[in-house]
Amino acid sequence: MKIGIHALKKVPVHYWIDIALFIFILVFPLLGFKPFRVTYMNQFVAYLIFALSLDLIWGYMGLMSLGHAVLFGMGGYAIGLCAQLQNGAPAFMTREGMNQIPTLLFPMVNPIFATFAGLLLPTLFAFFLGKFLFKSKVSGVFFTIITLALAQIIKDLVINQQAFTNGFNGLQGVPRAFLGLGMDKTAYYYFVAGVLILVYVCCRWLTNSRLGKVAVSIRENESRVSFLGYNPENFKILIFAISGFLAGLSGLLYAPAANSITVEEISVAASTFVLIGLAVGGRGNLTGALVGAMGLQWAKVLLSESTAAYWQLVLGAILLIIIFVMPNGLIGQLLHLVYSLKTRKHKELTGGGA
Amino acid sequence: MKKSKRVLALLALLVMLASLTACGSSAANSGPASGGSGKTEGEKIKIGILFSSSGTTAGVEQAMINASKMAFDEINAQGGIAGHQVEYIHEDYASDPATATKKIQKLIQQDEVLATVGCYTSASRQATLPTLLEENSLLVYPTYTEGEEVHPNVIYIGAMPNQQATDYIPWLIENEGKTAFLVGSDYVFPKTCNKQAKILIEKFGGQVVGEEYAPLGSSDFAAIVTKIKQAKPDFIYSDLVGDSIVAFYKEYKQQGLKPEDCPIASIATDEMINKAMGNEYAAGHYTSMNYFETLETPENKAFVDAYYAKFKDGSTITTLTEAAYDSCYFLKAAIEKAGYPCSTEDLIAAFAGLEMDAPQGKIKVDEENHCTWLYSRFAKCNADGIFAVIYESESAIRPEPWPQVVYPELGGKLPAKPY
Repeated sequence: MKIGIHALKKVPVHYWIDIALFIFILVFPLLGFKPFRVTYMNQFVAYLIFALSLDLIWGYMGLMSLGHAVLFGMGGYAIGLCAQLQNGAPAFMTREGMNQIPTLLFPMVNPIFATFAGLLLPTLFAFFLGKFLFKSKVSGVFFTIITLALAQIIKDLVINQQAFTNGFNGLQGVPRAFLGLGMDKTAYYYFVAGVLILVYVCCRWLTNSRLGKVAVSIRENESRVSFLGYNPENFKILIFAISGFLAGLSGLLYAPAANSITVEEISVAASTFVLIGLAVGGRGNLTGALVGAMGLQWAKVLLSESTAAYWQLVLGAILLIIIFVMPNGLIGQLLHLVYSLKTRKHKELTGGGA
Repeated sequence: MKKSKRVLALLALLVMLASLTACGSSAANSGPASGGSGKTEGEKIKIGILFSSSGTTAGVEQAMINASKMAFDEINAQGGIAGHQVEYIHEDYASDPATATKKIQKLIQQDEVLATVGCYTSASRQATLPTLLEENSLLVYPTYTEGEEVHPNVIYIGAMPNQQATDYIPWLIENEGKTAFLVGSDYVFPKTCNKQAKILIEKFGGQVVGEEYAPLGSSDFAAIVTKIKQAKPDFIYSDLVGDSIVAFYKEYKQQGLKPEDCPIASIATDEMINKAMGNEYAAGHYTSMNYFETLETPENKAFVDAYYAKFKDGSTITTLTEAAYDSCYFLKAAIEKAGYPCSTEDLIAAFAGLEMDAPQGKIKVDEENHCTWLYSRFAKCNADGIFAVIYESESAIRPEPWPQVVYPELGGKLPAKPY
């Protein structure tokens, strides 16, 4: 018993925040809010997976991707297209002169195929992009610029390939389902929440594993890591591909929760919004990603409701203050505080000195 | 060490609780608690206004927000609707369809609005449709649109393609010449409108000598203008939208084309865009709209004067502004006709055949198809950048969401599945 409690006390403080957040998510539908609040929460929970995926590459690898929402969109568009193809060629195809579903898209009618496509496509895209970029030693700000350009190119492509994407109007009417299994609102909510917790556990395991430690070492000093005999490029590609997979998964779960997927959600602005969430929450500890993304989404909703005209200004000011006062983000600052308290106590106990 | 950790965990919990109460309190503020006293005499009628005040289309939508607020303020000053004051709740969907879905849910479930006036882009309108159907609520949509959609929960106050083109194209062919070059932004609105335009041009003895689409938001028109110069059309029929318009008109002038030889006849270039690009580019070209700011009717003068007296934010009145204003008055008339409190079904049914004296003239909602009878007008932009109206229909013309010239088999009626 005593050992149990002792072990519990060894659990880092931010793990408790994660657990509290998950409990909050799980009880949220029972708190008596209007149904649309639960629908919002469902979308935000799906977004948290996206935040985790970004934290893996930005927080742990130090690579800031401004085009990550494109990978998110691949999952969303795959499942959205599948929904649109259920009753033959949709209006946006017939308008462009395609009266039948093109042979290439025919497998997408099957929701199981579409789901796997929505997961595999972003993974492979991230893998090959990583292979090209990291093998040619692209890093730092240049990586960010390339992802920015790619995101813009793909956004334009989606807007203009209307026969496949319905352009600016996006894909609407995505039913709540996974692998073709339809769910009601509550079931889908808990399904997404369950996937989030699973993804979180996997990310925790990953970042605490040797792979995660190497990733952090690469972030801190890449040449030293390669001097020690590691091949940093391969680690980067692997993490980027995993991050791509999670982004796709997030989009795949988000589109049914939001009932739609449009180009706005794959734009640079969408990526930036989650990046800001990470910066506010603190990167490189997963908790910051969860708290930051969730906090920012709710702040956006509630601020825009209370002050319709100036909400972005207010939000911007709050974010600036947080980042100015706490450069490591909320959770980063908290962990720093815990660490300094610990060391001070340690010093007191050992009677000062080093 | 243990203590500090516990304190921190407690702090974290507090933050979470605070956020909980934050969304809790806003849920309670305007939730059923305030409306729970029942439908009493002095109760306010809640109406949603859903336009963007941030994001890419905020510039256009600001005037629509202004006009809606002005209309409801006027209605309140005149004693409200059937003795009830209007409480309007503006939500900003930030030019994003997914946010439009979120906001319409909030307006319906939390604010319990009777109806909503709003949406500018087709994407945002379409994003609200499943919610409107599920919650059985009403959207009054003021933007001119491509048609081919009549949703049971939407009343369309903006023009349908036939109202902009049916009188316009024959006039252009008669007065400017027989050959036309179609230019549009590459998306659903121009493509649907051009489907109709091509049929009309051929019907009146004209000829389409070219058809080009520029990617939405594109500002590179060198290639398209070169093609136009080679084709030498008598006029250019343009359904370009947004920033592309400015880029196209500028390229047109830079490549030496002149409005006297080959004017641009647009269905989307409005007062606001003219102001943005400047008179030297706008002058000499045509636009077809139901409404122009320069109309000389007493209703319009009152509207324009009241608007500019109230709003000095640099916004410009366009056909969209007027349509948003009309939408509010139509909604008022419909509520009065249905009697308050009323069900959504009764309210929607009350719109059928409703007439009003709008700034553009006497207009009415069609008895069958949820769209509005509007005037057909076109104007030439003069050297001062002002639209001089050169034609207006004698009365409002019937809206055809599925134009008869394109779908003769429907005969102007709705198809079996209209959305």
